[in-house]
Amino acid sequence: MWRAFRRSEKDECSKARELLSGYLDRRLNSEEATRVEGHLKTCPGCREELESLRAIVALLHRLPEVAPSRSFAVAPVRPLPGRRALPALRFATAGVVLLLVLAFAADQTNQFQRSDPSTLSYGPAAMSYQRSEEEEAYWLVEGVKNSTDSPSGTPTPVNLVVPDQTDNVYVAVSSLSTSGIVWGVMEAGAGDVPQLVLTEGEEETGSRENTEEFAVLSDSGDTQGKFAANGAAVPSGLDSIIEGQEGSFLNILSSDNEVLYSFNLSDSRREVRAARENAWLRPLEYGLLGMAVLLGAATGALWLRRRRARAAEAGAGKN
Amino acid sequence: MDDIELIRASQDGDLDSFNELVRRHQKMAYNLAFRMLGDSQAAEDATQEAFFSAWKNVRRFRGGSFKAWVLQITANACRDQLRRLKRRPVVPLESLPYDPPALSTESPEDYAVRKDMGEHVQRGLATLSHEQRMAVTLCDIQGLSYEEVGEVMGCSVGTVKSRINRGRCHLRDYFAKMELFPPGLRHNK
Repeated sequence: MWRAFRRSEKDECSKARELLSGYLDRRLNSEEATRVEGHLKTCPGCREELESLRAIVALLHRLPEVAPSRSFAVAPVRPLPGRRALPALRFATAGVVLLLVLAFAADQTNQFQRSDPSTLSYGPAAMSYQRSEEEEAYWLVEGVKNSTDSPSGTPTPVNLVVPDQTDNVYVAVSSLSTSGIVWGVMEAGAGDVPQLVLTEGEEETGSRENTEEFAVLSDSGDTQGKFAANGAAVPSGLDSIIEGQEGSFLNILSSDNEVLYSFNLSDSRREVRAARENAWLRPLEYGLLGMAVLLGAATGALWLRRRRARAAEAGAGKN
Repeated sequence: MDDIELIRASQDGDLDSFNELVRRHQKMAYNLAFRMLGDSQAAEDATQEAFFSAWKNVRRFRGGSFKAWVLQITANACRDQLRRLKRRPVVPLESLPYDPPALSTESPEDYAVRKDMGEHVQRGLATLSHEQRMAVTLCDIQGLSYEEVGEVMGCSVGTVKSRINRGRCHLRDYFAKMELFPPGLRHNK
């Protein structure tokens, strides 16, 4: 019984205490106010609670206002310089740099090089010509390919092309009408005698498998250094043979001694084909580089101005 | 010029008019920020942020109490600051001294007592939750009505009442714990 009474008294107190703040502020309705006042008359604990809250509120009311040490006036906001120009400049710079990188990469990989036919030079002048690394020099020997099927048929013009290297180079016999292509390797033979080994391969694939092999032995000291087949041809032991003839002829025979290819070495000539850069490439590269530098500088300057303006604005806002 | 005229001029882009409004209301906004953050630098930043935001959004102000609107923006700036301070706490809220300006009528002893009490209030406030602290500050320190507090805090009067009551009780408990009440009011919980 006593416990139940204590519990109800406790409930009354907690209910009243919920309302004490509102009671202090006169924010209770008349019914609540009457209930609180009734309870306060009988409960010294809640009266003390009310007084302590009143003291806190009085203390808070008495707190002086804090004075700020500065004004919070808003500084006029000037549009930041280059609001529109900066993104465009950035885009342009990036584009020019990209173009420059592409141009440079293409230049490095010789994408823009071309072989200008007008730079061909023939004969003795070309022989003494000191070519640069980019240039290409080779021996060119005109000849014919005879048709093996019909000996009376018209021979087809063929060119023997020997790049101007000392050893282990490929030579190609180009023919307008033959389906095969003859590949050869110039090797340094015994006693500095150049040895030309020709093999016939597939034109389409360039494969040299299952091809007929020819061998040419030549002694040096003839016409133009590279070819001297006069009477010096020796069968290599393979089925095919090369036969030297009167004059500077390089004949390639079939195993039936049919002359398959015939080249007149005295007509051989040397060509230098200069791999030239296009005249516009350097100006383009330097132009792009210049533009990239200018645009980069303009972008950087504008960015700095914006940053300064922003910092100045933030500073003005604080003071 | 009253506030309404100044607001209209501000809405037309007149910064001078807006700054006049700032001048009129900055102390109130700063006090809320100072009580909420307990640090004068943080309070200045929040107040500046609030007025800057108010200037940017002044066209959206659709009448009503400008004071409540500014306090609402300040309250939001304070919440942002508190989140930032929570992320990278610089100075704990409780340990921030503040020197109130001395009154010409008070003795140095009275000033010392008042300063001491002010610091205790600030420390006591720091023990409350953000929302209780804001409600108590707006109501008991800045003298806003429950309705105005509700407008500033964006909640109902019932919620305001409950936050104020709990806030005061916490503050009272803090004072009791620190034995700061006058002898007649010693309240031991």
